[in-house]
Amino acid sequence: MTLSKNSTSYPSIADSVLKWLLVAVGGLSIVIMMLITVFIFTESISAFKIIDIERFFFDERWNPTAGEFYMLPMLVGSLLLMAGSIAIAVPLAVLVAVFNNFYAPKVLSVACRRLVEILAGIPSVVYGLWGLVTLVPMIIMIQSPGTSLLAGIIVLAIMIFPTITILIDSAIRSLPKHYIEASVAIGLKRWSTIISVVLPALRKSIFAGSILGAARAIGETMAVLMVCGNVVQLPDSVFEPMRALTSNIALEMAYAMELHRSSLFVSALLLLCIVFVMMFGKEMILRDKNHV
Amino acid sequence: MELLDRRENVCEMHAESVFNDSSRFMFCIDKLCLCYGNNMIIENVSLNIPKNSVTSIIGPSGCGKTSFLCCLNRLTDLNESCCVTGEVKVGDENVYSSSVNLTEVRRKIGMLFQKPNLFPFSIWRNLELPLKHHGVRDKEVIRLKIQNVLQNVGLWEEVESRLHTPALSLSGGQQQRLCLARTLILEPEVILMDEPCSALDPMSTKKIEELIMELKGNYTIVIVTHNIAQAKRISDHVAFFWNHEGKGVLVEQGTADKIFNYPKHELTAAYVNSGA
Ligand SMILES: Nc1ncnc2c1ncn2[C@@H]1O[C@H](COP(=O)(O)OP(=O)(O)OP(=O)(O)O)[C@@H](O)[C@H]1O
Ligand SMILES: [Mg+2]
Repeated sequence: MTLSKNSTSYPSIADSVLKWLLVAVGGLSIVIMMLITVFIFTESISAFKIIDIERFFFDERWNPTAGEFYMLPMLVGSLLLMAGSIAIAVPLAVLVAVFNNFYAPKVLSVACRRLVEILAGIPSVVYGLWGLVTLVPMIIMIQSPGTSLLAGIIVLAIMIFPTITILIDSAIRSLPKHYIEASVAIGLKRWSTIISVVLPALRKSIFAGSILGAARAIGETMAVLMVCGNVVQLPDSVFEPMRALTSNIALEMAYAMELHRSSLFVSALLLLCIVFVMMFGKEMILRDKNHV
Repeated sequence: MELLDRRENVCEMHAESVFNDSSRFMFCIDKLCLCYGNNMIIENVSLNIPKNSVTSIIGPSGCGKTSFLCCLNRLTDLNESCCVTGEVKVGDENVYSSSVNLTEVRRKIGMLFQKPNLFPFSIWRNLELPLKHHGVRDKEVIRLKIQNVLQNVGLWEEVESRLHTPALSLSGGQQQRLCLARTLILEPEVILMDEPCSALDPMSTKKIEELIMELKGNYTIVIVTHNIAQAKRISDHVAFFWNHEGKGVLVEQGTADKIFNYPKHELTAAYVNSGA
């Protein structure tokens, strides 16, 4: 805005049209966001009126038609899925991005980039299907029933890995060449340069990529629903089935009524809050210029 | 044609003196050629660089000065298409032999670039990183060295209170001095400088020049500069490069007095007088 004011001495029509167009589009997306939030909030309000909040955490079980609203296992399950998949996908993404930029011959790195881009575009239901017919039987060989937290974590990790890789890869490519020159000139070898200079210099990009991946992981519904078994319980081990908040909504929305329906909106609100907190936290951390 | 013949004469004359007294020299460079892909950029440069003095490399833009400097600490390795032939001897060691300990070579030969290239970390971390990498682990030793080197480059008072703030928040001149500190902290024997003052204001330039004068007793300094006045002020020896049919060649080299006052070659004469 200041740019257009200072750098052009007269207002151009194209400029102001573009400006209003941008304001309109930006404003519209904010309004839609707000409307959705308000809608979810009002839908869940009747649940909050009748059910004490602690019942979501301390009820006996999840049986909304019988007035039991133990939502904690699904919340924990969703968080576990997110944490697990991030823990696998981020290191993998860093490795692949580093390989592409510093070790792979040109042909291979180009091929690898294309492949990762394709992977990023595959719909989640396909990943779910793959998980169901390939991954779950493999897990059964270790421990039944196969559909489990572990299956969910692995499928999610594979799903979010391409996105994170693309982000980190482009961050590495946009890293000024003089960091590497400086590092080599003081005697660091390639590997030490990567460990001591490149990755620390990229920590914010890696962090931002992880948060985006995490947001996608916690919001994923279909793939998780297909491979996790959907038993509402706090899993004792990664081999036990569990149900995510998202799957819960998808599974029950079709027949949910009144309080039940409202409590599903509570879980939607919960998801929204988690994503909001993550994005807000990310902004805070990335904005901190003095953080070195 | 005539120009080139003369150049060879000058180089040959010089090559003879090499064998007389090689311990005086930090670098003995013999028939160095550098190509990027199929383009020959530097052709057949033979040059000896004396110890504990300032050698300036001057010449027009694009004649391969930066590339030449990068040959001395094998920074040319960074570019895969870059191929170097000939010999660059530091002491008895050929930098380009496959058995050379590159980490050690690069500790011994520090480099200061045209633009300050600090890492996007804190001031402290920028100095600690090279030390740690070269095996200095003792916290107290690291602290002392950092303080010492910052004092040497005249930055200590300015940054003492903000050692843990981002190095990139310093001014350009301060950044360049911190770069110098980062090089000095490894106690090198040689410092290569590629137009270290070209991005700096006159005051910062003066500071860097003063530092160079202070350092030259203990270090061998090879500096590329476009500023002939600066070369006159600081150098003991000068090597003049020229772009001959797209290839960088060494036209003439010798003591600063010889090159600036009694240049043998008319190209040199024209070049050194163009800036005066
Ligand atoms: N990475 C590279 N790949 C291919 N050619 C290069 C590369 N770097 C430099 N060159 C070429 O090598 C020649 C010499 O470049 P160099 O940077 O060494 O010149 P210079 O003398 O330092 O010039 P200046 O005074 O402008 O810095 C130029 O013609 C340039 O185009
Ligand atoms: Mg240059």
